Amino acid sequence: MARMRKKSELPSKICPVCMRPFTWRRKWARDWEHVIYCSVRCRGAAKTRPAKKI
Amino acid sequence: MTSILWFKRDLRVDDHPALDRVISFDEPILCLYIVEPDLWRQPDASFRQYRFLEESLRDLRLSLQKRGADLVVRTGDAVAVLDDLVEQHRCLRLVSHEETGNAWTYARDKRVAAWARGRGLPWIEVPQCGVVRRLAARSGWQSTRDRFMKEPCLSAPMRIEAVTAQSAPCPTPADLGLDADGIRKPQPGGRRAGRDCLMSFLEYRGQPYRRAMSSPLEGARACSRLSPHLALGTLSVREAVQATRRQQERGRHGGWSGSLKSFQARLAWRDHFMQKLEDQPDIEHRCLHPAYEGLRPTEPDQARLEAWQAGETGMPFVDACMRSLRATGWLNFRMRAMVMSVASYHLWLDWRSSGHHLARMFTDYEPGIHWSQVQMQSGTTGMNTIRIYNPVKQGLDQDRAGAFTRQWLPELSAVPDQFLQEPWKWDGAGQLLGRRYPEPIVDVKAAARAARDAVWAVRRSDGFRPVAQRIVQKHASRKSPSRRGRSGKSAAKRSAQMSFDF
Ligand SMILES: Cc1cc2nc3c(=O)[nH]c(=O)nc-3n(C[C@H](O)[C@H](O)[C@H](O)COP(=O)(O)OP(=O)(O)OC[C@H]3O[C@@H](n4cnc5c(N)ncnc54)[C@H](O)[C@@H]3O)c2cc1C
Ligand SMILES: [Zn+2]
Repeated sequence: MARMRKKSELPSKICPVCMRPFTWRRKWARDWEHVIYCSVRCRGAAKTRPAKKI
Repeated sequence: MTSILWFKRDLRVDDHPALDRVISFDEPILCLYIVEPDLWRQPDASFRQYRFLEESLRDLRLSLQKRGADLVVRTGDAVAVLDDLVEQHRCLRLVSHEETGNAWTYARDKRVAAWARGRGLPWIEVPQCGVVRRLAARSGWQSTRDRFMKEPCLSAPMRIEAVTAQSAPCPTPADLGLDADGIRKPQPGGRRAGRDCLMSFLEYRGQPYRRAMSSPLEGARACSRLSPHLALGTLSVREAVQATRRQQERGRHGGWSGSLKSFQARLAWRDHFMQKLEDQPDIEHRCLHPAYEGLRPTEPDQARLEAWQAGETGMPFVDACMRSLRATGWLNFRMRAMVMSVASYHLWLDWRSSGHHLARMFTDYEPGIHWSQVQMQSGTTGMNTIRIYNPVKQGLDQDRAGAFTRQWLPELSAVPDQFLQEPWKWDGAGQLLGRRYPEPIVDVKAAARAARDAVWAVRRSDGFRPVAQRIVQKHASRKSPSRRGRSGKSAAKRSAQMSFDF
């Protein structure tokens, strides 16, 4: 299959807000399991609406 | 005196009818999840599904803890675990939702029911969606579902009076014999992620849904991606239906209204398909129309099956879809239908073996939808028009710029755009095919023709029609024809595209 670039070997997830994949970064090293959003922006988008019941 | 609330595929506390019921008894509750090793040994189970389950259980536990309760996780055979807990905690009853699962869970539930009867322990099962147990006839089903969906969602109790029991950590995937399965970009599990999916879909991702859902690249963002959440119940279908309804009532423009309507229809299909498995559990194992039994070799051609699974068939669009599925755990509807159709027609593989592979690859594996669809796309239901997807045409239509195909098949980088879906026609094919990328393992046109002939021969055989008519009676949707016909051409086109009518 594809030539593996380094980056593609790092774990990734799909962000439930923008649905784009994002890749592990050092700052998440300790908490990767609990990281859900790709960015502050997506987390913000999720946060601004919790009051209103889905 | 306690009740056991047995969590199954309903991993949430909001809009949870079984929780609501068990609370009404006003006794301490033991909230239980049983990890069943034998379930995870079944040919439809996989690492990725288990991962999603673990994340969802983690979230469920937090929601229970916030309410003063906890989740008790036990590993083992359900009857053994339940018997042990009932003994220890003097439980008075068992409460759960009505599960419409695979044949294994159906058999397990029968064992649990027999055990409960034997102990004189009531087992109360309540529905959590539009599926009706012991349904007498399909007519009227739709309005029953509509009524259920209109009932207000049940709010989660603020506090749950709970009994605690010893809980064990979830076994690791390796403990269950689940090997890493190539998932590289998983969708996160848990209710929070599920709620975000629904919200982001209804707020902004979903606008182009109707137009974009069939494209593999755009569809990944434009579809709701709620499927694994609905499958494990981190979100209830009713919550999704009602949230969508609220958006519809806001009267949004710019493509939204068509998209939301079409989304509602799919949420209804979910229940419609699951009802089939509820009514006839053996559709997981047997052709709905028995005349198709034995049409394809029972032992599938291993080389073909493996090439298809690995994304090495030499049909670029099929391969791109299969590789993408392996890495992400998801494909849109159109692409699922196409890869299944290619396996069953062009490659002439028995739907059970290919269907098991897809089941494992889908994080959102939902037996009721899955086996109905697998049979539909293999032409073994006897009640649908036969649709053989042309993978070359699908590639040209759904991946016009070729970006998706190229993303997953980097070995085709030298192939010019106009030959991307048919590299064998390119005059540079000699350096590529059979070396870095396979020759197509079948002749796309000839294979489709042979399959069509074989299936039609069955259709024309004696005794085919009366059986087919009985199947229609039992399973077909009963939408009034006037409603379907109203929006004219587009409705006809839509239903032809989806052929969901089984
Ligand atoms: C061969 C085959 C196998 C399939 N197996 C599964 C499966 O195991 N699990 C599964 O959830 N879906 C299955 N589907 C149906 C469909 O492809 C997925 O539900 C959909 O792609 C999931 O993505 P989504 O949640 O973004 O869908 P959306 O388009 O956003 O739809 C929302 C929800 O509606 C329901 N839905 C959508 N399409 C259908 C459909 N055609 N029939 C019934 N319900 C539908 C699902 O619950 C889905 O989550 C299968 C389809 C085919 C052709
Ligand atoms: Zn994001």
